[in-house]
This record gives sequence, structure tokens and C-alpha cells, in this order.
Amino acid sequence: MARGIKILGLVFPLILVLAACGGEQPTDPAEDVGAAGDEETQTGEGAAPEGNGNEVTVTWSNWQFAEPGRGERLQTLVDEYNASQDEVFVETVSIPYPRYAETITTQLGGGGGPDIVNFDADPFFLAVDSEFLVDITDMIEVDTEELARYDATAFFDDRRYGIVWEALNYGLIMNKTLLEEAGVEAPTTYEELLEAARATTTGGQYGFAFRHTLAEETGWWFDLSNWVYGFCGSWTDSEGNPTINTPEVAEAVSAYQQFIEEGLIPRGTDAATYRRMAWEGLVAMMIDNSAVPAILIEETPEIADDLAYAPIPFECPENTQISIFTGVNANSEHPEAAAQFMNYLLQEDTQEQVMLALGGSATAREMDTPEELAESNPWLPVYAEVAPDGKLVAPEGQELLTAEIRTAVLRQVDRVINEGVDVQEALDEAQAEVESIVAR
Amino acid sequence: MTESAVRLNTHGHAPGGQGEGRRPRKRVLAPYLLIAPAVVYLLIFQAYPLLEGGRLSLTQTSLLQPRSGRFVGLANYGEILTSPRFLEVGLITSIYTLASVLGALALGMAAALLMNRPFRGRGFVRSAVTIPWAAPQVAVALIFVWMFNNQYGVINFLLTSLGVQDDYGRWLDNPDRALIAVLTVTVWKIFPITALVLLAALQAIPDELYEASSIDGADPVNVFKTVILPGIAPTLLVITLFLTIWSLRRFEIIWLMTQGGPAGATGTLVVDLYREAFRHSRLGYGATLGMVGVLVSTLATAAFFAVSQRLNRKGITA
Repeated sequence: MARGIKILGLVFPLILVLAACGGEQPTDPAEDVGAAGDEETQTGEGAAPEGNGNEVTVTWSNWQFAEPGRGERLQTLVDEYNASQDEVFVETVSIPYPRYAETITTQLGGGGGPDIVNFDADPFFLAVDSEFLVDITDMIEVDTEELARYDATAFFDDRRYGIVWEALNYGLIMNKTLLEEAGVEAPTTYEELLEAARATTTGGQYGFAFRHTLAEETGWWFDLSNWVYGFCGSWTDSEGNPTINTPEVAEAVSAYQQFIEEGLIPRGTDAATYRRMAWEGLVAMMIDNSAVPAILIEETPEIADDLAYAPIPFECPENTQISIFTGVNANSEHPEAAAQFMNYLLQEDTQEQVMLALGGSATAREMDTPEELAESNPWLPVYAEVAPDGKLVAPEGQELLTAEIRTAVLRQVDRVINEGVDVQEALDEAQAEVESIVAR
Repeated sequence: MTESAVRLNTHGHAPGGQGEGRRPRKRVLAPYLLIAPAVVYLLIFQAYPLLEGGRLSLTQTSLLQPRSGRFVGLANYGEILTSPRFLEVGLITSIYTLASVLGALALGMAAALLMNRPFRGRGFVRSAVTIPWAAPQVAVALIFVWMFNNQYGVINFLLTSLGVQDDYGRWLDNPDRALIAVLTVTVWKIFPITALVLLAALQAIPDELYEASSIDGADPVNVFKTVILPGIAPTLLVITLFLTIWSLRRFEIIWLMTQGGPAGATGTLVVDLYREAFRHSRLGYGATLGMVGVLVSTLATAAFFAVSQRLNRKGITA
């Protein structure tokens, strides 16, 4: 018995040590797809059977593969590519959005990850700075002149590190029935927007809605940026110097604050709730992205006839753009094969298919919305019209510091909203803090 | 010494016989081998991360390049101490910790005293009281976010219906009420474990003490002061320490409900740590905040031992 205990006492620590040390890092990025978060990564549903074995297999990760409807359409696009040639076989990898950035950056940082990676803007910039993505300037054959103006956001120091996969812009979504009942027309200026919001705010119904709490920091940044850009302001100038406390930004924040102070928005309500209120006919207007109208109509099909769309009625046409980038993993063993697939994605025919698969979103090329799509999705032409004026929320020249700048600014705007601090005073403090962040 | 009193040692040797002055080697090694797994576990999963956190706190390290940090000495600590938010975060953390511990102790004690009395359905109540503790933190936080909704939340409805407030108020976006809301959820979540631990301690108090105090004519307050409190003091001390450290470390409830807002009203040290390390990708600075948290927890533990020593001197063993 004592001997048995002694043996157990010797063996068990050894087992623990071996378990703690872990296994070898896999070197093949395609095999490493499951290295961090196996239970969260999976190949796309209905993935085409593997090819004839002669092709190079590259993996492509995108959270959209997990989305009902869109995922299937994108998989079809990939299957068609795989069937059209026998050099490159693309295998899709879907990771749910809430865990996507952390999972992928962990894999990339660990020396693995998929060959082709989709990114939101913030992690894309961080990935470029961390040298996680391949310089594909010389691998992309499509002329930049053929691509949309915002393709330039995929370049750093004149080198290309990705392509724009999808661009979502912001526009004004209105419930025209509520406006008509209040006796106002669709606003075309800020003053008209304010009047329309006042006229349609009554009882439990609100004239407008936007995010305004730190609990939704990232989304709030998008919403506030629309106002700042619309009032012709900017977070930085073209050289990356902070411009937080300029008169234009102060005017935008004051206008934002006015809507809150006058009770024109459902205060404290998050985006999920006020979008629900919108599809229930309790919110008359909101500035939101091109994916939202479909959400509203899906929940309440009858509201489709009540909705109308227009560019944001502010002085300057710039609007927030949510860009999703596609890049090649620096750990990939097949960067040329990955780039070959990306060149295919950029072809005009493929871009049409991508646009249809994404439900009409703007893509790497500027294209007119197909007629049949415009008919069933009447908001698409409006969003396509404003797409060229899309501007990233990442402060120009300080993209890597977006999260810190965002927190610094929104903390001060939060004080304006909740503590009544003077707008200019708050923005001056934000400016000082951002300057110290930039100078660090 | 009679023969019957002669006792052989476990190896069959009479006292004074062979081997009595020296224990066999395998008996000396056995205890160490038995605790070796626990020691290895602690070294790997506690000591190593702690040391690594300390190392990271002396570097400027990006989350995306965790192996490529630059040594900056105590610069991160300097940044914390000179940060205008340091005092605010410290104050909020202290208020949150103190209020959640006191709230859990008060509610837990009340529940334990109630559950210690015989009544019909006591078994069911003892089981039901564990539900808040057993419920997943994320689910609890998200449900309470909805319950505290300004326009549609059931809490506003109840308070207005009961006449406590005239109209629906703001909660999670109100700097004056956000911390109250977060503390309400926290106390609701942690009072069950407090109640169960204190209940076990109450049940260890001999009935004779209650009887004696009853004979002496003590009222309930005096019974609590002279019988119950001394009897559960050691357990109370331990659970207070645990609640304090748990509260210092609590993240999910605060992050999911308010992310530290509005206007920093619920911004604790751990919330700041998460934001700096994983939103701003400043792993080194986040580790520094973590080390400050370790220091605070160590001070709390030191305070526990100091009070424990004092109780020992009074004859109350912890």
C-alpha cells in the first residue's frame, strides 16, 4: 500500500507537468485552425468535398460563414471557385463574431491561424502593425483605379496589406408614416431633423434614437462619429494630429447632447432595444448602417411600407464606414495561392456575386445596385450613393490608437451627458488626454 | 511499567528497541509525495502566472505581440500613480468592495438565522436560496440589464407601482444609480454562499448555550451578541476575507451591465485592467493594474491574519 502511494506520488506530478507544458506548436496554419478554441472553429456548413488532392488547400476565416442565409451564399461562392479550377482549394472556417477577433489574433500571435483572414478595421490595423499580414502589393493584379475610393484604407506606407471585403455605410432611416402623422417631411438639414424629432416625440414614441452609453462604447463611437463627420469635424487631421476640441466637433457634440436633453431619444436604451422599438413603430428616425433596414423588416414585414431612406441630413456628406478587410496571414505557407483567390474575389463578376451574397453591401468595387436587388431592398441605392463618402472611425494617422482615443473621448462626452460638464471644457480635456496618448 | 503498558511501535519494535530514535526514510518522504501534486499545481497555475504578471508589469507589451515586450522598469507604476483616474478608480473599487461585502454579510446572516430556525419547508428554502449563486453570472447580468431598462424594465414598474418613485427613472446610465444597480445584482448573487457558510457555523453552536442564555433572560439581541457572534466569529472572519477578495476580482457583472460607466461611476480596478489589456492591447499596463490588485488582496489577507491573531488571544480560534 505504502509502495503504491509512493509510486502514485511520483507519477502524478509528472503527469501534471507534462499536461501543463502542452504539445508542440503546429507549423501548418491549415492544421492550426483549431489550436486556439477548437470548439469555436468549424469548417463551413455544407463545405464542398475536398478536391482531387493536387491543389493547394488554403483556409479562409470569416465570422459571416456562421450567419444564417449569408453563410450559405458565401459558401456557394467558394464552392463555385473551387469547381472552376484545380490549383487552389479554399476551405472556409467560421468563428462566431463575439469571439472572432480574440480567437484569430491569438492564433496569429501563436504562429498559426488560417491562410486568409477577415478582420474588422481595428484588429486589421493592429495585425498590420504586428506584421501578422503579408504585404500583397505585388500579388494583387487588379488595378487600384478599378476599385472603390476607400480601397486606400487597406494601404500603409503605400503598401497593400489587404482588400476591402465589405463596406457598410450609414444613412437616415425614417418611419415616414410617423412623420406624416406629425405633419413633417423627411428632413434634409440638421434643423429639419431636430424639428422632425421634436414633432414625432410624444408619449412612449421617440423622434430619434442613437447609442450614448459606455456600455456600448464601440457602437457609440460609430454613432457619434457620424455626427462629427456630418458637422465637418474629424478626430485627427491628415497628419494624425488630434483635433478633438475644434469648433466643428464641439458643435456636433452639442447637437448630440441637445437630442438627449430634450428627451428626443429613449435614454439609456441600447441599440438592440431601440431597433426593436423602431420595428414596433415607436422610433421615427435613426442614423444606422445598411444592414439595419433588413433587420427591421425581417422582424416586422409590415413596416417595410412605412420605411424611407435618405443620406444623413448634415452639412458634410462624410459618414461612418464599417469596413471589413481580407488579408493574407504572414504565417501562411501558401501566400501566393491565397492571393490568387483574392484576385478572383476582386474580379467584376465575382464582386457582383459577393455583393449579392452579402445582401447588397458595398464591396471592393463601386457598383450600381442590381435592379432586382434594389426593388426588393429599396435602401440599397441610397447607401450605395453615400458609400464613396464613407470614412473610417479609426482616426487618420492614429489607427493603432483607436481604442484608447475612443475611450478618452467618450469618457468626456459621457461627462457632458451625465454630469452636465460644458462641452468645450470636456473636449479640451479629451484633447489633452489624446495628445498624451499619441505622444507616449 | 507493566507489560501491558509496553507498546510496540508500528514496526513491531519495543520501546528502546531497534529503530526507535530514527524514523524510516519512506515515512519521512511519504507526506511530501502526497502533497507534491498540489504543490506542482500551485506552482504551475498560480505561482508562474503571478511571476509572469509581475514581469509583464515592468514592460511595454502589446497584446498581439506578447513575447516582444520592451523593458520599461517602473514606468507603468508611475503612470498609474500619476493618472488622474487612479484615485477615482481606487475609490469606486473600495466602495464597491465594502458595500458588496457588507450587503452579502447582512443578507446572508439574516437568511442563515432564518434558515436555522425550524419551520415547515425549511429544506426547500435552503435549496432555493442557492439559486442566485448557482445561476451563471453572464445570464444573471444580462437579465438584470433588461430588468433595469429605463423604459420597459420591471424594476421601474415595481418601484413606480409601489409608490417608491413617481415616474420611471434611469438606472444603468445614471451616475447616481448605476453603482446601486450593480451592487444590487452583486449582493443578490453572492449572499447565498454567505448564508450557507454562516448556517453551518450557526449549527455548530451547542444548544446548551442558547438554553443558558434563555435561562438568564437574555433578549434576542443579547443572545446574538453573547452567544451567536462569538460562536461564528472565526467563520465570519473567513467568509469576509473570501467575499472581499472575490469582490476585488469581480468583473463579469460590472462589465456586462455598464462597462465601468456612466462617467466612471462603476469603473473598478478589474474593469480598467480588462479595458487596458484587451481593448487597448496594453498588456504590460494591464498587468501592472493586476499587480496593484494583488497588493490590495495581500493587504486584505494580512488584515485577516491580524484580526485572527487578536481573536486567538481572546480565546476565539479561527
